[in-house]
Amino acid sequence: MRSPLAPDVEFTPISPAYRTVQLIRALAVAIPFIVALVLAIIFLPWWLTILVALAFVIYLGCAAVYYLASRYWGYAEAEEELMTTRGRLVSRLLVVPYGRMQEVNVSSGPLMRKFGLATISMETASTDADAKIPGITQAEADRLRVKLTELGQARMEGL
Amino acid sequence: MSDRIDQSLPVPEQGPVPPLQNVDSDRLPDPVQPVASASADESAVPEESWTRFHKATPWLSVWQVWAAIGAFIVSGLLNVVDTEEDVSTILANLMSFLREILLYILAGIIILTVLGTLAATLSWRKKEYAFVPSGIHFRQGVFTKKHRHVRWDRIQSVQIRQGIIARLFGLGSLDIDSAAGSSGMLSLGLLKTNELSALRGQILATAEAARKGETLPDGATQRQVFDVDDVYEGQRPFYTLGMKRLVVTTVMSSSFITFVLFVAAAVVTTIATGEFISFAFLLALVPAVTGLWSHINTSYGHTMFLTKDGIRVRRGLTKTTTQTLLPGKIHALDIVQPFLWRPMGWWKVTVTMTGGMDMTEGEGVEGFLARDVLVPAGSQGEALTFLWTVLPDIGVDEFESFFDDALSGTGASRHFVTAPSHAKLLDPFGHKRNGYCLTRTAAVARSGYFRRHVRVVLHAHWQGLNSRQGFLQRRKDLATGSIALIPGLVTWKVKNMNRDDIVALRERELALGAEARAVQAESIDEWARRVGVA
Repeated sequence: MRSPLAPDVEFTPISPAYRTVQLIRALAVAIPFIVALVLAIIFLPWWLTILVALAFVIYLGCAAVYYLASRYWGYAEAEEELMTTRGRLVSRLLVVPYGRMQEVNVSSGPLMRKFGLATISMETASTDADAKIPGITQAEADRLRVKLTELGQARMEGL
Repeated sequence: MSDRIDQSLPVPEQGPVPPLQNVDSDRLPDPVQPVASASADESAVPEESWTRFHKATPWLSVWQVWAAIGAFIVSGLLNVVDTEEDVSTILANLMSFLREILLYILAGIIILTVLGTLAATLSWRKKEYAFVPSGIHFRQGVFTKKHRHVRWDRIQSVQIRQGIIARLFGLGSLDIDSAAGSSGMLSLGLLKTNELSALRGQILATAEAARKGETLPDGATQRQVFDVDDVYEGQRPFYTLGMKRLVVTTVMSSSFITFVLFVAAAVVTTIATGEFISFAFLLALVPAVTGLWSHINTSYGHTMFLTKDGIRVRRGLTKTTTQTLLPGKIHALDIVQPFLWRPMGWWKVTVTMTGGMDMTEGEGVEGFLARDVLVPAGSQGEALTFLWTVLPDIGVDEFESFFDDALSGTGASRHFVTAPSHAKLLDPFGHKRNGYCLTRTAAVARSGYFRRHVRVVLHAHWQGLNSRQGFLQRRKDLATGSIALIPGLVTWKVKNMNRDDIVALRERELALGAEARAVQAESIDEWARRVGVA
């Protein structure tokens, strides 16, 4: 996988199973929405129904954008820094030297665990440089956590 | 005690402050020898060591009570006033009401004043401090007695605090910060201004000696501590915010302009309709006025000195704040010129530094924001002098033409990688100024066609690098690059550059950052030598 912002770097994409997770999450919100819509059609005046329908359409649009964008999440481990990229409509690239990482966290909820996935997030002293990779396999997340924590400590520098 | 109060401290032109026993020996406690194993035993304080505060203390505290009551009444009136009614009706009602109860009010005022003064005097008589080998002791209380003991080796800092009324009388307090977090500062006051600085010096010296486990040597010249306040007796600041500049920049600030427009609108409405504008409308102006006032109050007399310990900043009208900045803590600077300042050629410098976003108690939002504004309004020369004190070397060879380009240049530049002309559809004015330059020591970004910015990030201090390409930018093969910094007021960003230039920015800045982080940062001693104050 490539990013227009770093044409020479080959990025590892996140797991395709993460898209299934996103789909399930989207449905979990969409079903109550559909129920609300049906109730609105029955009980509410037409203009309120249109408002609810509009909200539903906007929600579907956002969900679709996020779903499609997850193809473009990726990361690359360079010698001295971790690079993460995401997004297609708006593509972003973040580069954080290993020595700048203050904290590395791995988290996974029940749904993510079901698919053997985890999210790894790296915190720095800056709020603009907190790298996050959702939906990588748990084994990969643990490997990264160990590696990043070790490198973070070995190359720790003052702010 | 009154016979001693008018003695003043002989301040020498240069050199160390004389020992305290020569100054005011019977008023101030004798210099003490700190003992390492200080016991907290209260009885260890001999009765004759206890000293009372200045006798004006009770009067000024009564004054404070009256100010508080006055403020309470005014705010109460503001609440009572019915905005539907005409102001003159309100005033008439108010006056007749006041006439009815005038006698009671007068009686109340007299009784309260007498009682208040009695209580304050009583509490003043029971409020004392003592400097003894075990530390600073403070006791107060008529009914409930309080005793506080701060050990010499626990003292972190000593600050002088002066409110506006106390300052008129030449009085102030000493705030002693001890390592004990929960009980807060120990405040000693009120004391005479002359005594304040002398006591401060004595406390610092004794505390420093106690920390080193030494006993304080006797005699005149063996001061243990370099007290930065002594240095700028007679020394010239490298930057001072003049009254004219403070007023002009306040008048040109957006909140003042909004204020004026607001008032103008009110006046026009009044004339056009023939009715007096509603009281609520006037109340809406209160935040604007207080905002302007606190801007003047915090920035007044903003002065910077170079000292051995860093850059010393003093500012404030009703309350003087002093702080010492370690130049090595500064990560980034923003040199900005609002559009209206352009005829005067003034610039403002804001910094991002470690600890710059920590809230200090009792500082208020304005003070908090003002802390990172180090040059509120200065000439180009002053702004660049300040930059020089922070950054030894901007890392370019042609200093003058570089800063001409950075501060006011537009279009293609010898020093800057600039935005391409096809960026003008996305950024009609900004593209003329947008550009970056990676020097040997810093990343410099210029931007802003109307409000000019030059942002400087030291290579060694950034946390991460961001690049971004939106869908419109993709069609024009443009991108935006930014540098992630610790929380603060400076944001380094170059928008709508050629994508190749953003890729190159990331690659080069990565290498420069790694290089700079590997180099040992300039120590405070090296800094002091460089700026010539060692």
